Amino acid sequence: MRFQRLCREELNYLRGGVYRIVGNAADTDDVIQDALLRAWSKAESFRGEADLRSWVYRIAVNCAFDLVRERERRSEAGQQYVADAKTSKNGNTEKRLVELEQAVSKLPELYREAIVWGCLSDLSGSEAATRLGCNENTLYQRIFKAKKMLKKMMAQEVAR
Amino acid sequence: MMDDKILDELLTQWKTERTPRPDEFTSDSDFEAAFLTKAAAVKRPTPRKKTSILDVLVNTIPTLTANRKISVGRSQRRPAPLFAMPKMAMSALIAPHACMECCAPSGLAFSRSEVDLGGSTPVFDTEEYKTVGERPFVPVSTNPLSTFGADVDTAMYANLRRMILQEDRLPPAEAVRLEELINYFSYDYPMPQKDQVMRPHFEQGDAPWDPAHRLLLIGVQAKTPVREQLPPSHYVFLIDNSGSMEDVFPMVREAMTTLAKQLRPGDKVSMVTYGGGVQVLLEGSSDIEAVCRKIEKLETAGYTPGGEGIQKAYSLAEKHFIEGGNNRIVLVTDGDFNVGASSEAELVEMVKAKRESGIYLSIAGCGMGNYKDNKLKMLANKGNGNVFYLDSIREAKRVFVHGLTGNMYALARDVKFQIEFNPGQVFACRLLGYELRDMTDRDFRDDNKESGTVGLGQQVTALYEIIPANAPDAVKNTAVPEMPQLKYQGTAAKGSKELLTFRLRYRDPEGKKAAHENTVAVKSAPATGPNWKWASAVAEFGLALRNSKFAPDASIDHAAAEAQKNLGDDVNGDRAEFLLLLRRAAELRRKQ
Repeated sequence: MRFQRLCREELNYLRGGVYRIVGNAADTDDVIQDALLRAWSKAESFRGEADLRSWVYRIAVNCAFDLVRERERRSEAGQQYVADAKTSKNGNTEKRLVELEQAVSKLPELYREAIVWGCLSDLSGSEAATRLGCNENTLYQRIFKAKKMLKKMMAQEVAR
Repeated sequence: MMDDKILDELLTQWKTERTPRPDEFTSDSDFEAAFLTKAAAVKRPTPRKKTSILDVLVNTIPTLTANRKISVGRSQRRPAPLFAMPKMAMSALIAPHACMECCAPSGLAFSRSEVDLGGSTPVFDTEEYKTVGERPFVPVSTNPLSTFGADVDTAMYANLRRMILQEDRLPPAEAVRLEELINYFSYDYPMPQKDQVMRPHFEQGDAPWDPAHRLLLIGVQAKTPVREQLPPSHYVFLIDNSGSMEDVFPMVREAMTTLAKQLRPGDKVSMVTYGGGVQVLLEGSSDIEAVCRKIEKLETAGYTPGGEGIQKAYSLAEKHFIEGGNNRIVLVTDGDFNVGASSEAELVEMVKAKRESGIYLSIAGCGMGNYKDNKLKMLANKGNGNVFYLDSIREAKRVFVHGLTGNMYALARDVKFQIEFNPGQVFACRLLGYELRDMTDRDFRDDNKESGTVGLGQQVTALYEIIPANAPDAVKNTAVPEMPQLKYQGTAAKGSKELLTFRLRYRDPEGKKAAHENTVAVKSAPATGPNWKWASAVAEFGLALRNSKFAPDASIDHAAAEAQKNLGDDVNGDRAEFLLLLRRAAELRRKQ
């Protein structure tokens, strides 16, 4: 019951974030479904003091990255996130957006999840931090470092 | 490099424009239905033992049920708000499996009053740890001095090992004391020269968790004794044989017998127990056989008048005091003094009042589920003492046999370190660990201010994370908020290539003569050696366990990889064991 309510509350945030990692809605739902089941079936290893919420997130994030890694292993890299350019009004900004998405997908996982939930969701800094199971300051530092890496990657992109 | 503003704009744009449409996903109700169907098919581990939650609550935490209302057989329609419960979350009290009842999806709920209490973990955890905050980076230009007391305790490591390897859990993050992890291992430091009592050693390298920072190791080696020249000893074995010690008592018996067998002719032993009332079993006996027989006969029973026991022990120690000898109380307990001078403050005052008497206090902590780490550490720090944690008979041997001279014979007391960093070389620094041994700079030469004791042949290792003066501004600004430039500081040190000046101050074990002080200047870049490599891996593990906000990139896996490369000789297998611990901890972390 509690678990169910939590799932309802978090579903949208989970979907928003996982979507930006795995790249499409169908896989997103599969990943979350899988993660929730794992969370539920392994409640054995759930420790009272740990926050159930952050625990579910941890599993979901791991599942998402597992899927991404699995795809990479099957050498489908490159197809994993094909952004469609047709909706764009401004071709140049659109190009930069695609670059940004590619740069984000190249970030180390820790920084990627920080950007995805810390910057690209409607969660506040402290909300995102509790869900990702880290300290608020740690999250900010990670976002800071992630942005630094993004800037560097995108500058290289421009130079090319 | 790209502009911050452009990146932020792009991110916002991505956030708004590239959000998936809700209809791309399965509808919420379908999603939930699918989940419930699958969840029903999931085979959950069968409970090993079923205990009524009512029994548990009523029998084990009567105070809780008396003070707080916790509804147990609650209706399914209005589930108790597990997470709304302030601090006293049910989950923490009836940990770790009990929350499954309230977490279960409908249709799968356990019968209402029965909760799975299977598994090997203790159900009730009333262990207490003193939470220690982390030191931040301190700018050297305004605070060139860093002062702290020596500490050679290793209890945290043994306790950690118990939690990770025996109980499959990670310790509470804020309870991890870095210095105790680092000091658990022995390092290869140069021995003191003839007239030296302690000799410092320095190594430096890039911090493994942040390549922009440097990590400085300061290792102090105390001189090793000649066994024949050890002074005669009088030990008071103060043994807690109260009810709470029952589970670990077989180990306690064996551990104390091990210690008794280390006694040399001329050493004397008194023995006091305080389970169910203070009892003096031996007074100044030098018959080792008799000591062992008494230990064998000990049984556990009753309440814990710990304060009274300690008082009795001190009075025996004074009665049989050996002038110029080694006078030491060895307290074996789980730290739960529940009757008498029970408040931390009273006990500490009493022990503190005795510290000038030349009597040392060694505490061997043991037990689980009810271990009061905070009390024991406090007592030892105030009473010229040291703390160990005995998680196994192997650890007892390590402490009482291999570490006997270091742990049981004091070489110097009130050992203090003061490091003066050169602002020309170091921008900011952060001492890792030793939070409980914090001292103000002016206390360094105040010999009334107590500090840690170092035993014969022991080593003290401290690590400083350093931001070099020539680091880029971005690195400096993330660690330390910008400080105004000081106008009136002397420029004498300008151009000095020295990294720091190290000062060491200590008193003789009897504490009667004036304190000694040694000073060493260290050149700009001491080289990295095997000691540094090992200590930095241990530190990274500790920081990762602590979720240190100053080292967000510290990872257990990386620490394990580094540790594996630097096992060295590993004579007693401690380092190999650490590797095992790391792997298990990494698994536990992933499960979290």
